[in-house]
Amino acid sequence: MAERNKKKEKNYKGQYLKAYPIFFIALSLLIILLPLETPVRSARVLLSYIFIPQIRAAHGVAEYLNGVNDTISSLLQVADENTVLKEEIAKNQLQNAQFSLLEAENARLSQALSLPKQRRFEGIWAKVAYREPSRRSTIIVDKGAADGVELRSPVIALEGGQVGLVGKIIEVNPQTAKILLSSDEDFAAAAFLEKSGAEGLATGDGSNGLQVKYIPLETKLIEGEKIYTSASSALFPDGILIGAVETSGLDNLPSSAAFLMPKVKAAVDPNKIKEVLILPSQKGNLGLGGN
Amino acid sequence: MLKLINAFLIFIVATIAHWFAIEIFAPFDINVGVMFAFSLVMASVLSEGAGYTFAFVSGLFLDFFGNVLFGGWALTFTLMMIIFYQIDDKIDFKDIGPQFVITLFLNMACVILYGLFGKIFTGEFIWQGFKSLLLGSFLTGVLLPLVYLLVLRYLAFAPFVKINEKNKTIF
Repeated sequence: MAERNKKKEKNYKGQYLKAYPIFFIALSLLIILLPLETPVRSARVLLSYIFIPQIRAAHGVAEYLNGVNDTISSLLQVADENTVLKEEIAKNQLQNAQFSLLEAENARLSQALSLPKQRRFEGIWAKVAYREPSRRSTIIVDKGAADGVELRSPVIALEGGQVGLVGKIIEVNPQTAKILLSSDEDFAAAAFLEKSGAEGLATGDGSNGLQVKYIPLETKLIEGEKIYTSASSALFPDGILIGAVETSGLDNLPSSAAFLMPKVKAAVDPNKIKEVLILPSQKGNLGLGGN
Repeated sequence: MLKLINAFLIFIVATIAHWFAIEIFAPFDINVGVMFAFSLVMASVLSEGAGYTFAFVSGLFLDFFGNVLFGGWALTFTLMMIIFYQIDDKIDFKDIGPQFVITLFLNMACVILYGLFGKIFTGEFIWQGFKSLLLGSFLTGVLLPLVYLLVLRYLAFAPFVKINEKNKTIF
């Protein structure tokens, strides 16, 4: 009796389970066959609103994974760069140590040979911030009075590993300063020629170059001869390279001329200046309109 | 009631995974059967009645967001579940191997059957492309063990879930 009941129960359960697929197949067929376009369209709109958060979540996850990919690749790149930079730092540290030794050796030898000490320039490094379109022979740098920049301070720069004169500070603001370039016609600096030792006044020619006035007629000019600031300059420390003689100026020299006026190519190309070193102003021997 | 909530939450996760798969694979014209994978997993852990219901609702969900044959996916999923329950008695669906093989072939059958229903009811075979048939089925096969694992993990911690050890069903 109990077995019969079990069998009955099993059969009933089997039939009951068979009803599910039959029911869902019938329902599916009904859905397919019945003209349900309008209610389906309405339901689709409603469902779209309901499922918007899921769609957004899925989109967000996909976006996040894309971001992760980018972040990982950039991190790997940074790790590579870090390795290279560490190697470079190690190399530089070694070089610095060698340079210190060489410097000490150089100082000892210079002392032994009684050579004059090499100059070390100290000042404020500044970046070119702006060039005035109306006056190309002035530039504005990103350091000003707040950084210790003073009026009439000499300005130098490095070009091709050599220090050259750039100009002088003519205007100081709290955060910026204006430099009058050596190529400006208003610029003037006492100068001397490297070989002949003749002294003159270097002034700008208004077109990226300079000229040296008041060079005695008997002076023998050599093309390429270097010109430095003179010790007699009130503004500039002596020995700063101004430029090199480009042409002697003898060709266009009038017969009545009392001095030579060689053209000079500036040591630092005014158009290429990116960074400058502003030296402390020579307050001790400063004079009005000094050069 | 809590049992129903668990199934509903899994369904919601399945829809998110479905749209996520669309985001990833749709640009390559590959249709991965995420909803189908979830239906198979739920069919393997739920009682038959609940399994059929889940599959039907999942199919209907796809129909609501499709444009061609409304009710086609619901019918296909229901028929696939009949086949699945026939096979499920004979194999151990807990192992990754059978999971992959069964899903691969059932998904391929799904794609073809849905196309055939299109031919029967609309007069045009709904062809999803070889990429969806082969690569999509392969990806669904790969996805299923993961879904299976996640669903079991969730159900292990989900409230008011009782696993019937005798006939391996939950609820």
